[in-house]
Amino acid sequence: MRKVLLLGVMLLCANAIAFAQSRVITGTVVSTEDNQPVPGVTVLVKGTTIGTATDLDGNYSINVPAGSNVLSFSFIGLSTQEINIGNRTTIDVAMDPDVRSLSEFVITSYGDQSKREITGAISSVKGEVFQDLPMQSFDRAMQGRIAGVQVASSTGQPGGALTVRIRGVGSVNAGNDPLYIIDGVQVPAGNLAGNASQNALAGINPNDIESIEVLKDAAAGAIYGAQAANGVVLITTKRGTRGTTKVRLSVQEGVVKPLGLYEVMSSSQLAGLKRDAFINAGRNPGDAATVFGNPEDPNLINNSWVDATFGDDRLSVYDLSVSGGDEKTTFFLSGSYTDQGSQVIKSDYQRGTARLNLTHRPNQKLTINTSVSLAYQESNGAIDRGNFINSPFQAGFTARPNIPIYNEDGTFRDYPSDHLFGYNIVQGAEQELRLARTVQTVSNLQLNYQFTPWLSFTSFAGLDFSDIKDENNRPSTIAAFRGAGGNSTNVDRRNTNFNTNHNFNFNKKFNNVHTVSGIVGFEFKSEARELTSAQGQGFANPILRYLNNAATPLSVGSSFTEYKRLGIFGQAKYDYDDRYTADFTLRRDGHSRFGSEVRFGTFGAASVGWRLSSESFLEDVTWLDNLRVRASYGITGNSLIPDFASATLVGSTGQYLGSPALRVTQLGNDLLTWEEAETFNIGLDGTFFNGRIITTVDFWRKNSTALLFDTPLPVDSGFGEITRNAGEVRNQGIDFDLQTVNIIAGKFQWSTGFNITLLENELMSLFDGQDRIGNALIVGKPLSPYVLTPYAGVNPANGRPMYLDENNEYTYTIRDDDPRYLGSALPTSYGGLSNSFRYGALSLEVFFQYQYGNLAFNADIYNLGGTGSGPNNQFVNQLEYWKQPGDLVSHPMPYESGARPGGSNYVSQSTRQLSDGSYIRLKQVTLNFAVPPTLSQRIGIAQANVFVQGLNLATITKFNGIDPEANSVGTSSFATFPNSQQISAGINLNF
Amino acid sequence: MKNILKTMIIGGALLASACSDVLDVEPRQSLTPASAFDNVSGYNGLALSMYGRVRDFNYYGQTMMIAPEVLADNVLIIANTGRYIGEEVNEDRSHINLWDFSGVNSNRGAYAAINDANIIIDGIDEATGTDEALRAQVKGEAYFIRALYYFDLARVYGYEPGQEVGGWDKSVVLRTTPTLNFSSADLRARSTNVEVYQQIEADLIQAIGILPPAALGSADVYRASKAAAQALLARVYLYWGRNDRAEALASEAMTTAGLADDGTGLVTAENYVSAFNTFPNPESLFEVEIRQVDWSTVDGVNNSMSSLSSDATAGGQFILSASLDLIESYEEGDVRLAAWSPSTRAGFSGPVYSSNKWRGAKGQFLENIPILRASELYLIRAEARFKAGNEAGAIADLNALRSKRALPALGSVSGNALFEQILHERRVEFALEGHRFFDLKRNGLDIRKHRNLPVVPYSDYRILANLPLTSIQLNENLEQNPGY
Repeated sequence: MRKVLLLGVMLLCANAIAFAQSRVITGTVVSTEDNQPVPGVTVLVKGTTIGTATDLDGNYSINVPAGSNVLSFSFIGLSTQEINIGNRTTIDVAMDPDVRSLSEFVITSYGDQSKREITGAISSVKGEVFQDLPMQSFDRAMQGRIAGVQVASSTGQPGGALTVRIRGVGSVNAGNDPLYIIDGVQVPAGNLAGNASQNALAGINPNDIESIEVLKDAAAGAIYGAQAANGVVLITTKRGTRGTTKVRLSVQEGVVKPLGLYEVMSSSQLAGLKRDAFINAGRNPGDAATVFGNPEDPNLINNSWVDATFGDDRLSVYDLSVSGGDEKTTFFLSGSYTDQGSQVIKSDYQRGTARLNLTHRPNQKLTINTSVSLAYQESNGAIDRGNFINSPFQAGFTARPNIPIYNEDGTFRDYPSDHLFGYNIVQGAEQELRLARTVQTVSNLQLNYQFTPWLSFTSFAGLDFSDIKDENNRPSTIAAFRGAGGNSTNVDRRNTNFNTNHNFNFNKKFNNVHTVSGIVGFEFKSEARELTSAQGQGFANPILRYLNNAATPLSVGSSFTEYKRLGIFGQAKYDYDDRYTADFTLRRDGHSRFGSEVRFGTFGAASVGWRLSSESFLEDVTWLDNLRVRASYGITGNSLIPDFASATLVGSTGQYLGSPALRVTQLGNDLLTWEEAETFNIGLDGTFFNGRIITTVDFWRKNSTALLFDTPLPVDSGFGEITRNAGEVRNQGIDFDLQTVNIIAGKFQWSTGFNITLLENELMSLFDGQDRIGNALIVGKPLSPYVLTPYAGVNPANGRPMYLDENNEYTYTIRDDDPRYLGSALPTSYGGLSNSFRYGALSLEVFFQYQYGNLAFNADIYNLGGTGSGPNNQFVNQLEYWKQPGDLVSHPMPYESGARPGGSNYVSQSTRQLSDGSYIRLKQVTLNFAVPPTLSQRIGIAQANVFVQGLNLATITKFNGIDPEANSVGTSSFATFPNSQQISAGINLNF
Repeated sequence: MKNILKTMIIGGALLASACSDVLDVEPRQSLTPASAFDNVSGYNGLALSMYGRVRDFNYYGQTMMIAPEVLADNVLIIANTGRYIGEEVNEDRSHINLWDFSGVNSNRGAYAAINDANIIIDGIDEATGTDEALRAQVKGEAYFIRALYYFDLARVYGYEPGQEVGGWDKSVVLRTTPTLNFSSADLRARSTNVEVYQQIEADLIQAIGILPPAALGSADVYRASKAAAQALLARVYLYWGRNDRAEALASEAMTTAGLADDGTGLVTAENYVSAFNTFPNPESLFEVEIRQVDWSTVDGVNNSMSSLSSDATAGGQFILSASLDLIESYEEGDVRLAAWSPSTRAGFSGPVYSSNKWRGAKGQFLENIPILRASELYLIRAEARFKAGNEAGAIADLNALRSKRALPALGSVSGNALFEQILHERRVEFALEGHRFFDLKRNGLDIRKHRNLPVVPYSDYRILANLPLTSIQLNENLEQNPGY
């Protein structure tokens, strides 16, 4: 406080002195970006404390004492200029945007950090890269754009959750999701709803995002140490800037199409196959005809259940934002509406979002920031993943083509009860209500007080609150639910997720070369999840679906779970002359999930950087703009396990004779503590030829130790597993990123962005000296191994399917020891390639995304590739089956049920279901036309763009299913919801 | 600067003192073992959980009732939904899995119930509470349920004592103390069949000593009773080849249950079938009760006995029929044939039969599952007496039962013909109640399959179920059954 007073006195004194012998300089400051005046620019007489600020019209007037000849103009987001006054009395200044402007800053709840100073491995995507792409959540935007980050869309449900893995998979049973921090609010990823996958991150409109930063190594993430083991994703939303109010409107319409569907048989093809299967199994072929029809019957009904289940749908995205502000207050206000269908009936997504980001500076010291966002999401979900007969991705393909979908009067026909539990999938998908509605806010309030130019205090509180209502109604019009008179289940979930931190930031430069900066603070986080559910059946009319109409209340349920986390942290940085940097972070966190004696863990990191390009010996190398080497080491934590995983729990489990039953539901472990990831990183950043080539390469190793491992117990103990800290997983790899401007020729410009990640995953150890857990984990191999018996084709002599036994001899029966390790579901490489071409007002962006080196298992082959052994419709390719001795074909003799006395069933697990899961996908093509401003300004529009774009336009893969991307993650590969193709056109207008 | 430092120091101190308290979070919908099991009523809750497990679809709710019929010669699969098609042809590994069924990792398989029982037996004596009758009952129930599970495990995974093939006498892993922490879940080897049978015997003797009686056909049979324990022990002795004890226990059980040697106490002939649609079944010594809330919306149609075996409820699956072999074996006038109704099944041209035992008479496929029925006591005693050389006594027991099934007394029959008659009575009496495969197996008989399927010799490896590979790989002390 004393210093502040002193400063004020000094300013007064300076003014007083200035009266004697000064000259007055006036002028206007504009921004080169839009030629608009900039209010609030600080104008200082260099070497003095004399200063002023520009007014609303960008004008200033300043008294400059004799002897002073330089004016300094500075403003956040614009590059500081120093101008020699000379003899002038009027100095107009045009200020350029700062190269170190917003996107170069990493804005965290702890304060801002210049990216140039960061010695950790960090990558970013700017909002403009994914602006106006019809993707509902920002995690999708990272796909293929950032080295070291693998993003897989595991469901085609619009608005659905994704799987994001930063630098491999380190944890076996604890979560592998990165920590997402949206404007400082720590938001858990995943699916919010029950009836449809609703991405917890879809509450943020991607068009509101200024930039996404991914902190990949411990040095970058250690300040978030408690939960940074899987990497950290920082999302910064847009904020307003001083100046005229800007309005941006974007409207987009398009279609959603299936990506490619399985080709299944016509009714006569299937009937012929089944007839042979019955004959071969010694069954009555007449029975096949009763069920599947007579293949020779010219009047055999041939229905395409696939056509009735899948098709094109609409997508619409509307987005409006208004931003602006004055010297004290800036704002960003936005609203959006998305309505997107999908490739399958009754699966769609609607979302409305609203956001207000405000910054207010009541005085020079205090800054108040707030972000308030509200999102409403409504999804009708198709049953996704799993061998369920009421999933369109299962029954849509397996339903028999000789069964009509409709009665003659147009009502739905009951499907025969001997297949798919009598479920007519088209009726089921149309009439079963699977509605999920979510209201979510991710909001925060931040106060920043600048005590002195080098010391500030930040208080931050953030909230992620979501309320989700799932309604499931199974009306009595569907045969399976007729007996019960229909059934309704309602589930209400409420998630409250709060974090707050309070910290000091300091930043001081000594002798013009030594910069010391740092943070000291503490953080608290809590998350509570509540659930209430109720079920009833017996509705007088299928139109009625609310539980008060139910004749019989069936069940009720409710649950509550929560965790709390507390941490203190400190960070110190040192920079010498922009050449040498060193960075130390230390953090200590306690978590309620762990045993009371071992709750606290200590995390930290150290890193150093050397900017070679700032050294005098490289001063003369004109083509070198920036060259820096970095090295880091650190330890971060992971606690993504169920909230009470360390406790032995006795829970209630239903009833017997009307009384509640109790049982031990979980074995606890008092010693359960943090999983740790130890990361080494060596990186190189380079910029060459005036920014024509920008590259970053990182060599890294991440050892995940003391894994939160659900270690198996002998089942005969009564428990299948207990969570222990055991095992070690090593991920290591290279992240490489290259941005080049290849050609600039007149109006034509071609630039390329390429990134690749090469990685290796290995399970180093398990627990108690075990070298494997069944066929699910093997020491010395990557996680997610495939251990299967090779399918050896068809015995030409008798048409029976053969396998290779452990000695590589042909066998009909798979024994315990026959399966062997064949590869892993984890890719060894992934990345993306984007090319931008610009010719005048026209630009084209072509973006590919790929992954390589993973195997993929397709369980749909059990149902659809059994060569007629089951009741399901079959792939068309199954027609090439063994018919007589000597036939060399890939599909065996059809055999009803596939079950042969003593042998293994044809649909047993083998390499028949396995294929190469690598793919290259043409992810995005956007053609944009920027309407010449001279034209648009005539109707009052500063800038207008017209664009057409396509997503998921083409895929190259050897995968034997529909979508290698959706298949590449998740627990079941049955009936996955494939991603869709989207083609849209739109305009955006800037006022 | 001083103020700032002061703030930081105070803040840090506050933080440090607050730490431990702030992080204390209680699981609001669960208890700790200490709080749950400090009194008898907590253990009673655990006993109810054991019964809940008995009705699991992977146990008596479905598998233990159906699979032994399909693995043998009683049941024909009339629609290929993928279920039981392997069991019908005795495909490799198509057997009964009691070891690690259910997808709930933390709590699966038969041993979860055994652990419930172990917790009760270990701790209930020290629990507070004044209801000594309840304490005794719960403890007796734990002994009974543990015996039931071990008996089922033993007959699925091992040979009966004296019936070993190639000297293979490995049975299942024995655990009689609770697993409540990591260290008690040690890796154990399989005990021998005799060791397991001895444990079962000891448990049932304990149970018989403390369980209350239950009137036949009363609601008390929904929990274990003295007669139920005696009946189970009689069955165990029969499997074990200890025929004198089997006879004695069967007689004791009959006395406890109020059953006369002439069959009085069993349902009359005209009520044989309707008894299965009465809850509890008037012949039940032990029956597991099921309510609608125990099932998810689709469990009835997906998993119930009724949906699989009967066409009584519209929308049911009806994938099982009596085999022709079974239907043709019924004697003229046997009321038990009425347990089947001729029916039709699209896609299956031969004659098919829908079960009248499992008609879902509680509505929406729902019904209880009788696990021990009184008529078995007569059949156990008849077989035990026959094997002990008392053919007249055996015939008397068969005739007592036959008098309640509208069948005339047997004429002169002896030797193997009498043995065949005993097995036949069992086959028709317990059709679709999960006995047939085990009746053939414990007597060392080959399975002469229906539908012209190849005979499965008693010596074939497929008679025993395989242990799950994951368990074998985890525990090197655990040996797989031969042939897998």
